[in-house]
Amino acid sequence: MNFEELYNKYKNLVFNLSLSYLQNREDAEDATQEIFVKIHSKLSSFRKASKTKTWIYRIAINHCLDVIKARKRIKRFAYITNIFYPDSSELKHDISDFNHPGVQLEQKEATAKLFDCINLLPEQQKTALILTKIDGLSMKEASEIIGKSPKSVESLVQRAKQKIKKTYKNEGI
Amino acid sequence: MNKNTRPPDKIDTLLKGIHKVEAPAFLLTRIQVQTEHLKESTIPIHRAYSAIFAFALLFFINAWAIQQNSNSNNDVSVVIEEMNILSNENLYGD
Repeated sequence: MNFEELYNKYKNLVFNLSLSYLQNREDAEDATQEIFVKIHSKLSSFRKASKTKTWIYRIAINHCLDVIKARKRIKRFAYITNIFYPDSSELKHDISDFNHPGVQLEQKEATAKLFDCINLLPEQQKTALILTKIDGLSMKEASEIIGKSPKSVESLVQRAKQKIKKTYKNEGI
Repeated sequence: MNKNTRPPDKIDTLLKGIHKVEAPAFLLTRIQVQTEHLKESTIPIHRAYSAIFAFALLFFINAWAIQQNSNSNNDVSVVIEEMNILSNENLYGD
């Protein structure tokens, strides 16, 4: 399969996965672009030890997690900048707002709050929840991508839900 | 309904309510431009090896030239010393 065929087959998968992680259309577009550039450069060395879909999922997940880490660094830097520039009422280098095109307008506020809770989850719990509950993958498929047993993935999803539930309770949602 | 079970149900409902969207059509063009740009900016491996070889050759030639020069300087200094023709401003050799 050449690159263009691969792109046409998996573009929506990568774009929707990026949206689930980043919750912003522009960021997801940039992430999708970067992910496919990575896929293009690694395509010749891909030895099909895993399924193409699993391989693409892994590249996409790792890239999105890197973007989130970079965002956190920018946020920390913004707080420091705010200390040195107290005149500014808003944070410099502020991170992107919630802008998910797949969420209906009447659900936007509730979904944004839910994603605020999801964003507080550890990486593996977040990934397990996104893959099984948003992307609709089976526990087996998700376990192949995460590299854990299906039972471990199920446990990760349950813990993620419990944490979200706890955050909901604490914030009175 | 148990109050404790309500939030997870709400979580499932909200997450299931997220629709899949189409990736923008312009992305492929952007990706192709970036990959082409990357191809242009990458140095071919044979060129990198040639550059390394040229620098190494230049280095050894320089080292060899410096060594040769210092050897010939030593020969000259021996001759100067033996013939007592040291550059000295004393006219009478005191």
